Amino acid sequence: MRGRTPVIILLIVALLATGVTSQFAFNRRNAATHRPGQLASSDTGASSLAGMNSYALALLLGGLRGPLVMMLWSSSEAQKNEKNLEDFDTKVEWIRLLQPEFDTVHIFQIWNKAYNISVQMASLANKYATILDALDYARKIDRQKPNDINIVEAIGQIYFDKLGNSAEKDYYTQRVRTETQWRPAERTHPGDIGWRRTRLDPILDQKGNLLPELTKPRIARPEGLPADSEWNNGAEYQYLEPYQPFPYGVSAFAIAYNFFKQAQVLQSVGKQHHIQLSSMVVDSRPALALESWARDEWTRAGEAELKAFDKPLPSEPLDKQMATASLPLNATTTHLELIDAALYSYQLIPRLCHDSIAEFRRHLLSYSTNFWTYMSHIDELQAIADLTQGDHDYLAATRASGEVRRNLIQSAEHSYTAAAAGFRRIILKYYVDQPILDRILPHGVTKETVEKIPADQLQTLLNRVQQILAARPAGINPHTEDVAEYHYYIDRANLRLAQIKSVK
Amino acid sequence: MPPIINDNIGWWIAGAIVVIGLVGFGLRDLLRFSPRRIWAISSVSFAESIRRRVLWITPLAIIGVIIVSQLQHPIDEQDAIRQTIKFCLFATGLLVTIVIIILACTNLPKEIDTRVIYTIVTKPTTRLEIILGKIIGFARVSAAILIIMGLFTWGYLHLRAWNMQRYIARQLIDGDVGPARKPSLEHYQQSGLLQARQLQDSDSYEIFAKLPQSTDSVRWMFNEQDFVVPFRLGLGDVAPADWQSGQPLPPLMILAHVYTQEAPLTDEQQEHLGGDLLRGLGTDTGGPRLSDSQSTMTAKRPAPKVAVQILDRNGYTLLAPNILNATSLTLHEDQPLQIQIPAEQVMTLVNHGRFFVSITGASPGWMYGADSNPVIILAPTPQPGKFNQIPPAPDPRDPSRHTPPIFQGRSGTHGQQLRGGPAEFNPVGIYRFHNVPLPASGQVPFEMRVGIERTGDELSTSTDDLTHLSISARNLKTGVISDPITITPESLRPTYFSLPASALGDGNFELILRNHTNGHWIGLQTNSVFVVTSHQPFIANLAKSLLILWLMTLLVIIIAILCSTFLSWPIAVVLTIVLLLGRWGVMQLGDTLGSGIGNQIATDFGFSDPSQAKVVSSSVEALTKALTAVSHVLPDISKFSATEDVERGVMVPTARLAESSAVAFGFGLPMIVLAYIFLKNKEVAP
Amino acid sequence: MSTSNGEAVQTEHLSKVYKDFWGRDKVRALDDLNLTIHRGEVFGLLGPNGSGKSTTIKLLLGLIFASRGRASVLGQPAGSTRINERIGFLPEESYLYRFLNGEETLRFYGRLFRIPSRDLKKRVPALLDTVGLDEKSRKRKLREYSKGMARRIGLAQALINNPDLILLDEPTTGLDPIGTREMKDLILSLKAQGKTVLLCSHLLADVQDVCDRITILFKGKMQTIGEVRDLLQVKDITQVQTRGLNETQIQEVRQFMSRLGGQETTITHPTTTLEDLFVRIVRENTPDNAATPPRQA
Repeated sequence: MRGRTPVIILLIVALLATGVTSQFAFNRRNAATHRPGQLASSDTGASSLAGMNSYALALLLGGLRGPLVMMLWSSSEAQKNEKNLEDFDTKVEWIRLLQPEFDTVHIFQIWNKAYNISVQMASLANKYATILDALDYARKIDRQKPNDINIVEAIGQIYFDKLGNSAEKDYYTQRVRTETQWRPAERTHPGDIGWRRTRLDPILDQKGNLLPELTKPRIARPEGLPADSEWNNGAEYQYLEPYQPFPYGVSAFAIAYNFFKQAQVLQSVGKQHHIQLSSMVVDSRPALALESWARDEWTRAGEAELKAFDKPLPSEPLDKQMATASLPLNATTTHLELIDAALYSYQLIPRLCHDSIAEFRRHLLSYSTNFWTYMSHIDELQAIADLTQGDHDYLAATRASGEVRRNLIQSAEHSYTAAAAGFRRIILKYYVDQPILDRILPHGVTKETVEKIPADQLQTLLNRVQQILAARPAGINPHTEDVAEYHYYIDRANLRLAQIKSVK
Repeated sequence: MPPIINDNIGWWIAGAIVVIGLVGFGLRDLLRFSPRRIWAISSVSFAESIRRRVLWITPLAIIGVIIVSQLQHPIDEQDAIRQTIKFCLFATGLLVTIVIIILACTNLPKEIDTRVIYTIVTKPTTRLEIILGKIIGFARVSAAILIIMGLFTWGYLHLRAWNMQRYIARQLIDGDVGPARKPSLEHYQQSGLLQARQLQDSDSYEIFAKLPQSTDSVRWMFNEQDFVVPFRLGLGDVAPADWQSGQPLPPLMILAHVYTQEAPLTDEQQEHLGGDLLRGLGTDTGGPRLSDSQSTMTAKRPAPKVAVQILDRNGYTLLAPNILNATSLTLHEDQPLQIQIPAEQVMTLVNHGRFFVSITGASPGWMYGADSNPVIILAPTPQPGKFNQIPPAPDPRDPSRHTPPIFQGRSGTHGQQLRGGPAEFNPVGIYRFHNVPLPASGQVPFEMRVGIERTGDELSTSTDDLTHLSISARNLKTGVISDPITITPESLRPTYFSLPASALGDGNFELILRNHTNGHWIGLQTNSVFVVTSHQPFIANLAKSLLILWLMTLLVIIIAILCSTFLSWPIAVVLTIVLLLGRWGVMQLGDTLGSGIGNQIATDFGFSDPSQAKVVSSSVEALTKALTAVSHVLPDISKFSATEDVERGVMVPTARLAESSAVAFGFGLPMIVLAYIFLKNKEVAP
Repeated sequence: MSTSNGEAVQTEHLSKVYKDFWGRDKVRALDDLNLTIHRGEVFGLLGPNGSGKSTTIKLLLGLIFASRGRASVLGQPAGSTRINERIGFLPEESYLYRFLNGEETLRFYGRLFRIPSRDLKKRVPALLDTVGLDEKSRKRKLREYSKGMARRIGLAQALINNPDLILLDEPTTGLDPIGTREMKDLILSLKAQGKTVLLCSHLLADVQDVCDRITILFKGKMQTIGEVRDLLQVKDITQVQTRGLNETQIQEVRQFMSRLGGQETTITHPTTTLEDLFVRIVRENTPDNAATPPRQA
């Protein structure tokens, strides 16, 4: 027994030293690449013990790690199917700690929590809290394995697909915007026993700028990298920095874009490959996220505009376009803060559209098989940029005067004209069947070269298309709904142009 | 074999082993029985374990529990406590079982190998005293471990609960709590987190369109609900006097009287009724698709229709509506429904014994009603035009009358659905409680756990719409209904509420539930609502669970010592584990070991040759039958379930202690006698 | 040797065949042993290794079961639990609980005999004194005992119940000459108390000193049995011892022997045993010990 005691003590000391050494190395690595940012404080759980390194835990369990992991997987999945969520999160947490090196595990569990578990909640608040749990999980992995394309992409997907595009998106997107804004420090902390995340951590300061630690570069650019090459500099919100300030919070799509862009750069420059998604999908996501962000701002702008002029909020999204289309240039309102909000969004949308177009073009340089699909996005984004630029100038003109007002009205006229022409071209290019096009397009003009047609001839061509379609039996045109959307935009532009003409 | 023997064959076999073993083989040793010698031997076994520092493993287990507790991810404070209790008791059970198996399996073989046993058996000690002494010695060791771990569990949980309560208080003071969570936190603050309560669930749960009154002869349900009537058919009820096995049985007739009443229509329903289009019913996923179902209406209220099917005792379809040609039967006033059960299906019903006739409302815009005896089954007699009337099965509560129809809601993911919305358009759920012991005054606590489903339409909102459920109580004696309270349950989370004792009368009452939130469907089951009838200190409940664990270790010791009397210690350890887990393992395999497994194995292993396949198949079938038969003589360790009740804060019932004792001693005593016989016939000096 | 009513041990055709795992005969350890040990005598069971000595002891104690024949101990069948009340057994090694100390060991075995606690309180120290274990040794765990101390505590547990029959298997193995002498003295004192001692040893000198009768086993069979003196007497030689003769007188004795017809007459001084010499020297040099005269051969 005497001989064994020193050996046992030595083994325990060695085990502890392993954990300490591993944590030291981990901290050193993080000091070089660490992004404290959002959700940073949720790492440690109830105490420093909960920050136990996965490898120390694995060592402690020795050969039992495998059977324990198997048991945890089967138990947690059975519980999920039985809708018994008690200690489900604990089991998922243990799986994360015991299998830190398997990205497929993490991708599955992030998706599992964000989708399968959140849907079992009834209240939106609890659904949202469950999705935040999934984000917490992803961020913990990100801390252990920074710049892993699978995890970064997963974070972006949660913001884009779940928070931005699910059935409950209205609730989620509003909460994301609100909670990214600055607020006083909370009295409860992640270290408190029983603490549970119900809100995102703020990422903006009181002025709407991103917190400095979230934009601080941490990874030096390699010397051999071409000057025009993209590079992730290690700042958590590197790709949002150009768009700040965010006086009305950050859109979920904006955050999605930030992470999708990081993932895309990790793929194109870092040469990483996502284990499930194709490189084409990863590469296309920044553009799609920017487009969704632009549309999100567009929706917000329209609602702010409606509320500013005390208009009721129509249930159909497209009806919102027409509700303020006839707004006269001399309209006044006392809700100036709403006008500011609308103006902010309207000035951001064209920029987002142009950035999205640039991203699409970048993507198409490498993946030309998607050309025709994404060209329609590009064309639409251009038209939206024109329309919303016009909306911005028009709205700004309502409370401007003198030379400024005249310039704004002129700019709005130009933008609306371009927007109407843009949407007409889109209809002709993508929503008119070839046989009809063959009959109506001028000689030498094809679907691909519709840009050649002067703007003033476009409506005439569309009228002819309508006549041809009207002559056909009912129910033959499959594009009715899509085309109707574009007509809304054209009508809005035309009504605004009419208003402009009336004051000239 | 007489029932008293057949029903208790296990006890008889155990008794026979004990009596024959002790009286037949060991009468002399039995007459020399000395508790003092047994205690002396047990003291040495205990001292050996202590001096080998076995108890030093408890600090390691404690550290492990503390570490694992930090890795929790609870859904709320109560869940954190629950998980901590689980870890503590799991670690305790695992630790004590492993330690005891190793100690008990190695002790006798080691004493024989080292020949220490020479100086024991050459004293006037019987083999029986040696066996018993060792069992008691290791039982004392396991008790010591359980006491240490129990004290730690009690202290650690109180510490955690105290910390949680401070955190709850801070949250409530700050007001930083969502509306759905606040009632739960207030409940935890008031009742504490370490509870041991006794819960009583309801006797029945039904859903009606209108709240039934005692004077009502007819009770009502909405469209898509059903009522079921139980029947039990014997051959004597349906077979003609000259019937012989193998002959077809005559067809039967279901006679059902269903009342109808126009149901009030919502604005949306009226709008649909004015529409021109007929659209199909929503999908059958069980999710709430009210708006889709309502869209089946044509320009005017459709005729009232029902679907009839037969369900087995578990509620699964036995005879679908299409088999009975009863998918959509139009109801006519004062005209009962006649549904024929085809002759070829009658034997199915007889073989099942108990089944339910289910009548489901199939047309919107109507309420469907049933009196106390809406359905009978008619069996033909030899006389033309004459039938035997087979009534519903007797009411278990009052065998002198038939079981009245049971009204159910549509089945959803979480149980029967209680649709939400204004009261005049939506059903009411009723939980019936009988003979509940209640205090004379004050508030009576209840607990509820439900699942909630939402229609898609309700999600496109920027505000969170909580589910509002109102609950009132009706005193069954006086008929008085209390003022309703409103709670906001969350899906799959416990919700706590209380009602005044004065409203619940003498313990016979109904809870009336209404869901007020449009687009929300609350899934309820019979055991979704409990009344808390009494409380007990946590330490008492913990002590009971530790006692159950101790009884389990007693059984483990006995099995281990039995195995070690005739096996080397490594094989004794394995056999001990097999004997302990054998029955549980077979239970887990469950239906996998049913008939057909032989063919399945033969197919899976690709035995294409029929004769080979048959050999493999019949061997596997025989093996599984043997396995199942052997498992019946092994102890059922699931009876030592010590953690679930304590985790959930429910009092460990005395019956559980009795069950555990029965298994421990029922299996233990014969094994002690067998161990004695083996040791007595063993040459301890090879 | 005194005899008393009834025999202490009696065996008839006692045989033991060890079998292998399949039940086949492997070793015939004991073959047709017919043995009687009288009450009150010290009986020696001798033989080389593997002769069947230990097997005989185990059969008598019920540690193993006979393949053939019968054995009775103190009038009861061998192995009877009841008769164990009156038997003491010292195994050839210290087969005791190594985690107990000397006092605990004796108390434990005393409880097995249901000796009341107050009697144990007196008997345990007395026995420990008898076997020569000092105060300090009694409190030490048995795992720390030397070979000699282990034999002493083993003997103490064999005597805890004041048995009528004591079986000693290799009692002097591992003991120094002092210890051996004390053991032999103890055996003789037990005999003086009327107890029967069955002594099993292959140290022939020790057996010769204490045993009344012996038997010699070889390959499981009894080769000879009888009283020690009778077995060891060389009958055709006459030995005379006397004191106080000088050389001249010794010569006269030699001549007298020749006249009587004696052949190969040898007149020398007798020798003591090395054990006696050892014991005498040790005791003479031990300050507190009363010198015990060496035993006469």
